[in-house]
Amino acid sequence: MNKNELFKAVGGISEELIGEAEGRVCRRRHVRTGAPIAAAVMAVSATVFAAVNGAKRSVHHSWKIDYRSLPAAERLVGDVGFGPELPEEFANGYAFDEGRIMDSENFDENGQSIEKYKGLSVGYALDGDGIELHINAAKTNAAPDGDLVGEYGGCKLYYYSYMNKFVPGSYELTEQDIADRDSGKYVFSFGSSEVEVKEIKGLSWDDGGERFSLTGIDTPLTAEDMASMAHELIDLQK
Amino acid sequence: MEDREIIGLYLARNEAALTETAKKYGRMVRSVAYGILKNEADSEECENDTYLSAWGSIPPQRPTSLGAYLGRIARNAALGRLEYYAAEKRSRVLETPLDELGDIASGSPTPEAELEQAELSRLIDAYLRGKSRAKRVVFVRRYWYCDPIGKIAREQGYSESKVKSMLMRMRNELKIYLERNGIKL
Repeated sequence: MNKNELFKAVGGISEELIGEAEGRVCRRRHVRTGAPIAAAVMAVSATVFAAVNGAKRSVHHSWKIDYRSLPAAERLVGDVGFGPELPEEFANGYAFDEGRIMDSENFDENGQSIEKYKGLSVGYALDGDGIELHINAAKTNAAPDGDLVGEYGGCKLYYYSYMNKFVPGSYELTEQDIADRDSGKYVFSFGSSEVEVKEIKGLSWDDGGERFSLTGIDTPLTAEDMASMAHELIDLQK
Repeated sequence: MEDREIIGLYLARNEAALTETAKKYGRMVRSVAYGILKNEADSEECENDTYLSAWGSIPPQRPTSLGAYLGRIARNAALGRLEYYAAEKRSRVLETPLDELGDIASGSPTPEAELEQAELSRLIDAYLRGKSRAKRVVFVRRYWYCDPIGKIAREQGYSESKVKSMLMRMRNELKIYLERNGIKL
């Protein structure tokens, strides 16, 4: 194969990748919502849930963006089996960016599949920062991860924050890594393309049989900011 | 003007389609062509060829992304012009994205090239989706949009040497990835 053929083949990549790179200046200090962030949040979610709930959860999603505009509740019922009301924009300015359907599966301690179900991953963005809203039909009686920080509209809100070290799949933990993991300094997530340390913040609650989770990576949003967003979502479901 | 409105002009055979296309995408088309040809006059001719080709193909084509559609035409037109110069031994080429890809694909044209190209595009797409967004954007800006290294560095917040090393690593990774998937480079 010669370079012209390879060059032509690069020309045939998907419009999604072409559009992603079109005319956008990447602000490397800010994390933007999108496929890589959704993937990072998937890795975080699976790790956290595996550590806390006993049962292990695996989440898979395709890179395909399922929703480029805000989906109506009726459509979501058909797509994922439940129909939460979603805001186009929160009061703090975070606006709908894109949405994906997630395939989730719970495993027991022996690695046997317990159940499969669909969920939603909806990205909201503002000024280069992104936050993911995950919604699953709650399949567990266990409380969400984190500390109870309040109650609103009959829903208990749980908040957590920790430092996550993302490493490639082939990465071998050093002695320092093991010490950091054991001391709780870092939670490790495998599968990234490079080693990065990021702060993860999350706020979760159950409402009407569904589990809602707001997750931010290196986000400037505080726990109070995320709680305000949770209040708006809770109000929308009434 | 929105893409769907411009495409509507094409479908109505209204020549304002070309004016609107040039207004919205002329800069991108010229930039892509110049990235390959490194020559203003040739890039302008390539730009005109692109509009002519778009006028002749829409309809029946109805691209979902007009920018991507025009960019592909421009790339192919520029490449065709380059191949013509190479055949006529008129050397116009300086260091280009095409030359960089020659690092990993310097073999002879393959008879099954056309058949393989769709599969090759799919594999390149899959490889890129496994990279971080930052690296993906750098790769696509260089090898699809044919942006100069300096422009990529400025816009993405990297040094030029960082961009060059990112691209070199990605080219080498891509070569391994493609060969593991049965593509001979």
